[in-house]
Amino acid sequence: MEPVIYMPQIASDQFLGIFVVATLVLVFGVGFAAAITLSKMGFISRRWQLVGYIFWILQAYSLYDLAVRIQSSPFTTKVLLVAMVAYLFAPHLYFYLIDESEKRYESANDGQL
Amino acid sequence: MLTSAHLKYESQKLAMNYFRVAIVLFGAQLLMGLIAAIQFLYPGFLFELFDFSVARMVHINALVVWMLFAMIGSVYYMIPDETGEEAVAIGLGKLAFWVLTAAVTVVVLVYIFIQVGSASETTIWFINEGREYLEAPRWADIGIVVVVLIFYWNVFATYMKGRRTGIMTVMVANLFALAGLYLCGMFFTDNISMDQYWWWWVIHLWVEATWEVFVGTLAAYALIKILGAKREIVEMWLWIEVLMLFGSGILGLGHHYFWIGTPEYWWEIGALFSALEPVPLVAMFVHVLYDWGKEQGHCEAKGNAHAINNTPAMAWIAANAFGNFLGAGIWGFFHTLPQVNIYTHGTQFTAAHGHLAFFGAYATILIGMMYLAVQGAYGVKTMKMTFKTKMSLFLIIFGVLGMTVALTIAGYEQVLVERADLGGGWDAFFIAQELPWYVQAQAWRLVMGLVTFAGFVYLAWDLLTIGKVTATEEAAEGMAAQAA
Repeated sequence: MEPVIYMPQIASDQFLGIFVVATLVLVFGVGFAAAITLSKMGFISRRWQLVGYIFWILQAYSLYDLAVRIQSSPFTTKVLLVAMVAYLFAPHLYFYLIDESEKRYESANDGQL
Repeated sequence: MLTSAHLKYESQKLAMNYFRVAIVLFGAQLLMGLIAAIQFLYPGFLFELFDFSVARMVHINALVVWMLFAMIGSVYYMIPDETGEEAVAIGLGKLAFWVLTAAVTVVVLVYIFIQVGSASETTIWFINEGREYLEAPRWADIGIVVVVLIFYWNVFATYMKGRRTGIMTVMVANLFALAGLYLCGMFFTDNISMDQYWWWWVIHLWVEATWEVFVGTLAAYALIKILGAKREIVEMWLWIEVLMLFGSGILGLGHHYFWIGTPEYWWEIGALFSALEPVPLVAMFVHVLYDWGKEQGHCEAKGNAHAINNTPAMAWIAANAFGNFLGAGIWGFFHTLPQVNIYTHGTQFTAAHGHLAFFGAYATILIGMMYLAVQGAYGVKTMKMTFKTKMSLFLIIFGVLGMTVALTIAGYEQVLVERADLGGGWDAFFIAQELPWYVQAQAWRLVMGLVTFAGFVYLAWDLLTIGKVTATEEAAEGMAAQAA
């Protein structure tokens, strides 16, 4: 019986694009986290959060583009994009938890050893 | 690094011993790497005297062992700080240190002078088990288990006796998993797929689960120690990191099961969970910078210059936050999805990722811990960078990044020529390695390896001298202040 090969054939000229887009996914991801973090910490104005969301949109598009370039199955592509939506809320969840912790431990002594 | 005079606890003095051996093994690892790098360019170099297979084996085993030494040292150093207690079985702990050091010395000498044996049980017991990264012969394997049991007893029993902080809770639970997983690399099966299956339980579940959680725990401890960050906040971050690291890392194991003969569902599982693996690395990156910025802000509000009481350690921990994301995150994500991995698997891409990830995620924070220990050993209040600190930071980081870029170029050429164009056959493997892109990339890797080694020399020199120099300066400042 002929073995079935599920893996896609990728043309030589496609690899550079794949590696660049894969890198952009993470670079935009850090950009998003950095913009939200720095604005929440007061280092930059709240308007920069908008730039953060633009980074997130670019990240989501890069991940979608990566999924298309490597011929992911529709199911995998959907799961990756659901993960992106979850990532949109991640920094906000962090800072909500931090704010709550700060309130809770306001009177606690610093953790100096 | 030469004294432990100001350390109150025997446990911390023992930690210094572990760090001393770790730094020696780190040097040995780099020397072996240089030999292997030369052999890529000049295959005749030391041929049949010290072959590439042997140099590479000692290079990667020394890496694992020096990191384990430094990890054990880091834990022994933090035990009294976190629990408020001396390690309960410190005598046994000291004995275990000497036994482990003697065993490692014997194993390394056997690797170097005996190298290989016949295809028999004797070889497995006394020379080499033949498993990448875990080549220790069986007698040493069993010895390591005994030593680790003693170490774990010290950690667990002291934790039960003393203060049970969140950091120590994570450490105790994580070390249990870390030690237990080693057992998966201690037995053989007749089936190579099964053998690889269990072997990855050690390698992957160490470096992408338990070791990463270990790093998160060390970073949490160091942030409290260096910046005075608030424990409650740091520990909350740590729990989130643990959740995400284990949540993505455990099933991320699937990316090693793509091509070894395991069922095909690992393609989906490996792809999905691997794709999530960079997320906790972003969180760790943000966490370090968040605490740094926050504590700095508090200090400035109080009119103090800055929050950091150990600049070299903080610099290495910041390098860890960034290096972990870059090496494990970006270079890992590059080639973790199966559609791409089928082309990149086993090329120099893997070596590029391996070099930057091991350095960025582990070497950096363990070096940071060494600086923290030196500060304690010399009783220094505030440790600042010296010229040697800056040189070591710059040269090692520049060197490892340079090696990584060079290896990435070599790997890219292999992907295009050996895999995509020529189909990954036996001839393709050799043709790809003879092309200028590959050869020149390997030459640059050697150059950058030498830069890294020069940085290591500065690092060792700095660790040996910074404590004494800083302590002398502080004493002089104190006397000047008294005189005024």
